[in-house]
Amino acid sequence: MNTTKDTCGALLVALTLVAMIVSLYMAFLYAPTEATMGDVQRIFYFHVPSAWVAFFAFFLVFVFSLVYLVRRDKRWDNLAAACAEIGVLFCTLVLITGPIWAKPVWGVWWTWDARLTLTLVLWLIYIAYLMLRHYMTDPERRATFSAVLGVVGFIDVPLVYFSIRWWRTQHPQPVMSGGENSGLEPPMLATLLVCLGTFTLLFLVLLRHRLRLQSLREEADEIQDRLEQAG
Amino acid sequence: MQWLFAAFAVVWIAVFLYLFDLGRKQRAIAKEIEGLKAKLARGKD
Repeated sequence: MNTTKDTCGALLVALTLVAMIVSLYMAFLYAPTEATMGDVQRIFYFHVPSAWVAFFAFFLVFVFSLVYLVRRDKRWDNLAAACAEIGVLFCTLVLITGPIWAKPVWGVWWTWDARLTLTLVLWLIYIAYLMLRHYMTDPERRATFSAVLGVVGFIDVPLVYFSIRWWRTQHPQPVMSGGENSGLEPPMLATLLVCLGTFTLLFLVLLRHRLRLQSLREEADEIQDRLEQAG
Repeated sequence: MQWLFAAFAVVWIAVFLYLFDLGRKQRAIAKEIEGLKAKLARGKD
């Protein structure tokens, strides 16, 4: 059983590494240079997938938190915690790569428009989620409180997504399903899709490692309990 | 071009640092488990 798991893990890592190399090739060399922004537009191929992984991770936090609240099984709480941590990592990357793109294109690092502000709020919500988990010592209360925050906090994700459709924002309009005059050149679209796939694989690799860490922590706590009972 | 490299560098450095940190924590807990198991075995003897 463990051997099968290890083989699957090794295959996943190998596949992710290959996908990363392909993504780098496509983002830097295959995708054409955008006419108005030039090379800086290529940040898009890592900025958008980072946002996708963050949204996906927070969606999983929402689902696992709901399941935890219904079933009260700590495995779901562990899964939610792992996804939240990875979601925060990628949300941080969105908030860093966005301004790096904005500075040469807009002339400013940051503007308080709806999309940017709501993304910052999203990041703060899940930072609060991680802090709650860190500082609360009672495992059951920690799991319940963070599950509630994991469910309520997810409300901001659709707000972030639809903000550029609902309000006039400085953030670029959606490039896919954005109505008339939206869309990407086929090589750009192919590059974006490959990068989205790569980042999803990367998320799975990170999640696997994060869950492994969690199971080791539980094993250590269990042995510690046995020692205390014996002594 | 420097903006592009800055953004790409930030993404990959952050991901690898996170992976490195997970690996470091895993090794530390594995070591802790070994120690606890040895303690438990000594207690049984």
